Amino acid sequence: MTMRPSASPALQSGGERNHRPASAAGALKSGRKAPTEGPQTCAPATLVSGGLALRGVDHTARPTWKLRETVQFYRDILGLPLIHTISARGWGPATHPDFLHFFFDSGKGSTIAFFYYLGSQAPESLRSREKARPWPQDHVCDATHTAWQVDDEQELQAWKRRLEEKGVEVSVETRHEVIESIYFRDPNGYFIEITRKLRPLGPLDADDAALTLQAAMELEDEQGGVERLGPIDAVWARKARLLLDRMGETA
Amino acid sequence: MNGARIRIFVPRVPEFSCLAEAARGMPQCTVRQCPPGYELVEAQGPIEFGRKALGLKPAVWYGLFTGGLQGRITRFDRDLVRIEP
Repeated sequence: MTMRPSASPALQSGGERNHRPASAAGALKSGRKAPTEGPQTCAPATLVSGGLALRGVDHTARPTWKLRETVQFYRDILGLPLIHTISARGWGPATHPDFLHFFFDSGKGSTIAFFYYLGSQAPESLRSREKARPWPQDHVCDATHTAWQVDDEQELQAWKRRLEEKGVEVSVETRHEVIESIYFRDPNGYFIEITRKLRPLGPLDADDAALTLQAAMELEDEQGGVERLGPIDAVWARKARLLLDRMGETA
Repeated sequence: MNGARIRIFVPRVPEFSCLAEAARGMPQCTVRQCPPGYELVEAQGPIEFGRKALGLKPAVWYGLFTGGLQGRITRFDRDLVRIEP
């Protein structure tokens, strides 16, 4: 999740779990009762639908126009092993057919990967981005980011110290609702997050999440698009009404 | 209670429990269990909450009413929120 540390809530949490087989919004519409509050535990399986499940992240990938700096940052500063490189001729689009595609181990079988397109130019939007401070400055590039998980506060602090000792500017710790995070930028200017879980998510979280989005979608339908939505008060008011409906009380 | 009133649904999760707890200590508020998963704070008149008094960091503070809110937010800055019917 990205949020400007200690600043406005520009971006909202993404619950990176899919542990509920049916949405609470669907449950509401079908007349089924929402789940009662249960223990705050996570289902071990990531059951999505029809028995299919995803098993976590294999890799995320980004383009880079800074080969040496990228390798130095991920391998030498972060200490992520470089574990695979593809070098291809004529496989990419006509504008940049040849490329390197290389992968750094980010734990639990996941990697962070980069494309290095020979003969291409970095887009203007990435120019000087590495000089930006370690908090979100736009709602597209910085919203698209990877958050790595560590086990506890000690590990989070150790990563912060390591990065700072190597000259990387790191944000203050941001304590969100269910995770605590630090943020920094790589040499390309990409926004990176390291986070620890503060508590497990449970059925109540999933039900509440669906209800919030149901409220927003209803308003979006009524207003004809996100451009006309805001402030958030309307979403909170609609959600309250949905909950009062659930209780059988009038607004 | 009749007429316009403030209603705040507080999800029963640790990070928001301070809100219901603070409301329980405010004479103008009533707090009732609202199963499943929420507590409902109700008030007839304006109410205010302070971030530091709730012990909240900004990231949670700015999502304080994510559980649902009926009422007008007439002030919501880094340190204080005021809600009116």
